[in-house]
Amino acid sequence: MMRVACVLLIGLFGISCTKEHRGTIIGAWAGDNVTITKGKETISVPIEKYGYLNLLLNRDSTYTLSLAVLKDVRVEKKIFGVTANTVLIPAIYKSTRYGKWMRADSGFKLSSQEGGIFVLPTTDFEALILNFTDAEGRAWLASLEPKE
Amino acid sequence: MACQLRTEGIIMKRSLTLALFMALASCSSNSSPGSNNVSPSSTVTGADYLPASDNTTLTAHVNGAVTHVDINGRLTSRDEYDQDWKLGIGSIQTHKGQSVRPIFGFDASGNPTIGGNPVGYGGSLNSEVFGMNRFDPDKATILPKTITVGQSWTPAFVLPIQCQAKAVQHFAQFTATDGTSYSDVIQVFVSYFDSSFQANTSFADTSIIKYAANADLYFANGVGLVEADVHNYEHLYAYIYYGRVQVGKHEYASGNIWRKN
Repeated sequence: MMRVACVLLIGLFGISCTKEHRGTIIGAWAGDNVTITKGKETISVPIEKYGYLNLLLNRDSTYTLSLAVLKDVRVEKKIFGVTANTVLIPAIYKSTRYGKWMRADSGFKLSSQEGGIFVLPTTDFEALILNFTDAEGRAWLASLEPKE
Repeated sequence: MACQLRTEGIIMKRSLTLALFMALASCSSNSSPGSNNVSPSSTVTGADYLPASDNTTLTAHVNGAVTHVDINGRLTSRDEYDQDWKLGIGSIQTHKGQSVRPIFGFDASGNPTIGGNPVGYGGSLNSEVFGMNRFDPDKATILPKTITVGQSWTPAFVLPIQCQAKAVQHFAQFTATDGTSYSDVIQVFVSYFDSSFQANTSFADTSIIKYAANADLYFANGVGLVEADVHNYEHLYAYIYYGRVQVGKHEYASGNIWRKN
């Protein structure tokens, strides 16, 4: 009886570990937070409050990156040349990118016409850090978690 | 330098198309027009349907999508917009010998497009409404002096541009996509095709450029462009680099734009 209980506990523990430590980059990921930086200016935006950011990495090296801004992202203070209490990122905007992903340095690179999007997994693949620079020279750093 | 000018030209053409998208806006052509057509034989004056005032700002709602494909036609990205954009009309001035007003574009964030330069110019002469780009002295007839349903005209005569316009219908009442009702509206169908092949001395600088678009535009008497239904827009920019064709950009767009003020 004791052994069965231990096996069950180990099994449950294993399942919970699998959820948080996927052990592979392949699969679906969902954005949690994004930090936009240019020079000394930085703003952090909780993604779910304004839309979504989803990344699907397939075994055949293809990827789909989906971004949606469903609600205007407004800034309280002046930043990136945008005056206070105005819209930094206007809604509604939806964008989907398709392409190939490959290993690059210590992480991975998503091919894109607008330039490379870099993905760096954290230890045990608990999260991904997505990094790219937009046309206006702003660096976007987004954290993504495994999507169930 | 030539490359820079060509790039500016490309940007400007795109901006002009966007300006058409917005300023010359229409929408769901066959689904939204109101009933009670006026007599098809009635003749109207072009300038009455696209009036302009100094230093005004127009707001238009854009609902559309842009897709990009690679050299094999595979989809690489899709961007969808459901946003308000703005268009500014400056004060009257002389440009390339014509009395015109500059037109400025602003994106959804309110940032000026193409570095704050005009996306084009518009003017009126003898009741004809014409447009101009930033570089050329040629005028394009947006609305001729007199318009009758069924009438066709060639807005631009400059080759290799092939542009045709046709007055399709004349509505006593027209209901725009946002529900706003306008009286005395003419529907103009416009098609645009422009392609060029430039083989320069530098082998790597040989380029292929194509623009194609068609749209239904709705102009209300005393108001101007109130809605645009852009059925298709295509822009291809490719170049030959040491014998291999590379696609710099290949995009398609479609959508509806309607006036908000």
